[in-house]
Amino acid sequence: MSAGLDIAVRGTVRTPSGGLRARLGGAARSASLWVVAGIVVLVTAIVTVLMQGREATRPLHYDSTQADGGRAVIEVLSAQGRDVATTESLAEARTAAAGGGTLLVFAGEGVLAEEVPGQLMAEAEAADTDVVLIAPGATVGAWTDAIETDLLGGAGTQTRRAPECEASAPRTAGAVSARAGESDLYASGSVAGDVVFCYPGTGGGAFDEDVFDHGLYAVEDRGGMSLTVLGTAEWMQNETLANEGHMSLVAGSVAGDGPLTYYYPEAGDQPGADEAAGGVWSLRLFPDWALAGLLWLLPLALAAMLVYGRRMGPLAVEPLPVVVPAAETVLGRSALLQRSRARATAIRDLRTAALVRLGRRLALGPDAPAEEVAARAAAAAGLDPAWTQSVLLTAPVPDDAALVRLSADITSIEREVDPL
Amino acid sequence: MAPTWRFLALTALAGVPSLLRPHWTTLAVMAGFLLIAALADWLAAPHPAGLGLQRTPGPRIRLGEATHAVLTLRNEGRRTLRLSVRDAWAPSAGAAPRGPGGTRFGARLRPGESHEHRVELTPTRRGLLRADRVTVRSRSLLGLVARQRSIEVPAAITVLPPFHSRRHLQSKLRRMRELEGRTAVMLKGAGTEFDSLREYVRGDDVRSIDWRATARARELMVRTYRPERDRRVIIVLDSSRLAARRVGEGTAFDAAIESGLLLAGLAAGSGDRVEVLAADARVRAHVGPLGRQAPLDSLMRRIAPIFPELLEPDWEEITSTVLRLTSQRSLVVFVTALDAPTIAEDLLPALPLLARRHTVALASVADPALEEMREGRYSTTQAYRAAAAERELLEAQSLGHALSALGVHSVHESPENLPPALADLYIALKTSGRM
Repeated sequence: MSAGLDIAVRGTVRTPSGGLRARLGGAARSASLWVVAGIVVLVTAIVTVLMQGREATRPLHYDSTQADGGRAVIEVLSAQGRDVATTESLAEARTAAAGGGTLLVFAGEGVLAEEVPGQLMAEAEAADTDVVLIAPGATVGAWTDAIETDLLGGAGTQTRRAPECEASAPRTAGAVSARAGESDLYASGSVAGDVVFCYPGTGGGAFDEDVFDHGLYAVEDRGGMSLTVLGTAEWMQNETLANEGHMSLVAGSVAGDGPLTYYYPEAGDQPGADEAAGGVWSLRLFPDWALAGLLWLLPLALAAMLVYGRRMGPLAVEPLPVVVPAAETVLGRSALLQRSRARATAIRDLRTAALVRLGRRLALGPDAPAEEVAARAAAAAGLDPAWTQSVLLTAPVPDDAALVRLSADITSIEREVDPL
Repeated sequence: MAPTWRFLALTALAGVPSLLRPHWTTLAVMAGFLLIAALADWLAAPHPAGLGLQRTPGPRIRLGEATHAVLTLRNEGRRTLRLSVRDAWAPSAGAAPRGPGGTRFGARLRPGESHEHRVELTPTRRGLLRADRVTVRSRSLLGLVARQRSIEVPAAITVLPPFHSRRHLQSKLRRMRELEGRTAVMLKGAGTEFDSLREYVRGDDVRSIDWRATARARELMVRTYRPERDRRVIIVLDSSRLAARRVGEGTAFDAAIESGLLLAGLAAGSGDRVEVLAADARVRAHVGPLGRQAPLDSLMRRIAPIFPELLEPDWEEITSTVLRLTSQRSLVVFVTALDAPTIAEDLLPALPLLARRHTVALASVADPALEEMREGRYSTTQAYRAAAAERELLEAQSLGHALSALGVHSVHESPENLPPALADLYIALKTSGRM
């Protein structure tokens, strides 16, 4: 039957599509609906990313609009007419330190490399640049020898503090608040300096009354320039900037005529960062475009897997018939004989089969005794009758070597016997 | 949903902007664009539901011959379909994956258009060859991501047993006719059934002179005989676990089919009524009685899909089925693989009852591997194997003797030699009038 006629008679098969109800249910489950939803979500995500640009979320970062971000303070300072620059680059920070004005450094979190504070201070002293540190904690010792953290003072439980000092910015700002645990007290260091401490601890320290001069806020006057330490990041954070006198305190600390540079250090930009990231094989050795290309290999590999891994339909099914391997039982029996070293059984079977064949070949009846068959075979083949007798009937089989030898001898006797 | 190589190319291209502006936002945006392109293209691809399919199977063949199947695609929707199609058949169908006549092809169908694709098949196994699903990928003009569907389009082609032994059929039938006396040979008249009278010629057996006819005709007349006709031949093919054994090229059951077909063809051609049973623990097929015209077609068609199963043969059930078939004296031939212990324990007790009412013959497939195992004796393992093979052969021999003692005829031959040997046994029985 031709295919055309077949179609005319039987029609065609189609992908089954159910009734109205099935179709309504199908619409909800339809892949198209979810695909459209997926497209909408993706477009929204892309637009959001493009609109926002690079969003920073690190604490006190100058671009971060989070509660603990630092964008508000930069905006307010700019709005007040201050010339504010921001940077993540150490090189730019050093330029700023050597250029006069004020350098505001986010010194927390142990990001700065060991030698950086010393270098920055040296350049700032040379150029009379004021330096303001935000929450340096224990690393304050790297900036100056005149101030160090006061571990014994005790921050106390009270959050609201009065300035209790003569420095101008705290006096203008008045009371501030500082949460315990997120703020450090500072005290005089190993070298005596012209340091003023403000916002002292509120009790609970190692001593009944404050023996040392200490506080959350410290200003060291170094002649041409000053080093200011802000004991807590809370004063600058977006959320708490407007509380108490925080804004006033920050503005007062960074006051000055020159430009203000806010340096937010980045771990990857520090000297020695390459070694820390894995020596000479660091990915930093690659240019950025090469890294981006390498990264794009991931979606490329994924796409390749999808393209070449997707099968064209399920595997074709083949109903396989049962096949028992050839001579399975015979092989099993021979293995059993060998394992149990049943040499006697084995040689008996070999001899019997040979005698039956020889008897038939020599035209002896089925009742002929084995001795007669052996004797006639020896005569027909011209072999030693005693030896033939021993091979075909009597020789013992003490070991496997004897079995092999005897079975080969049986074969050669059979071969020698001419039927005629 | 199946992405194509074009999607891969687009993915590679989409990496270029991130090389020019290396930033993670570029990567994210390009990945997003890529996903949107893929999803939108998938939406744009026409649904394959508008496609009508039908398979037209080609002719029935013997194993080893080539056949074909035609897959017809008809666009019953309103949009142009760009398709890649896989017309899947089981691996034993022997279809090439690609190229003309392969299982995979592409087609572009405007609304209402049809496309016929012919798949060339060279099956490698006898039986009912069923078509698998048809898988269709429909893509849009852009062709980034295709919609994929697998559709059941049933079709089957019967692959008949190869029947290699048919080359013996004509020569055996000719011998049968010679014995019947239908061809001009001197040997007219073997057999026991009276055929006709004719004049005596020198050389005729004097015992066949019909003296009454001689008296009437005043010339020496002899009776001529011919082999009996219209006898029943019942062939039982054993499809149990014994027949699943691999012997030489195929299984013992394949050899049994070959023998059964030759015997059935020969017996039906000689005017006997042939019935064939395939049975293990139950009767799986019963074909017959076969007519004189084209006797083997229906037999082959019915036997082709049967494969041996791992079941113990139920000889009592089989013999009682045979006894129920007919009360007329018939020739019952069992075709099986000889497994001495099984045959001795299960078949032999069931045989005497059958042998009393019918002529019974047992055709068994010998394993040529045993001969090979018997020959090699150069290592310990080989010596033990030779011993085990000798044991097996001895048991087969003694079983043959036991069968003769029961009055059962037996043939024990290798797969190639079994069909002609069984045919010879039939001819011998027929001409000696022992059926």
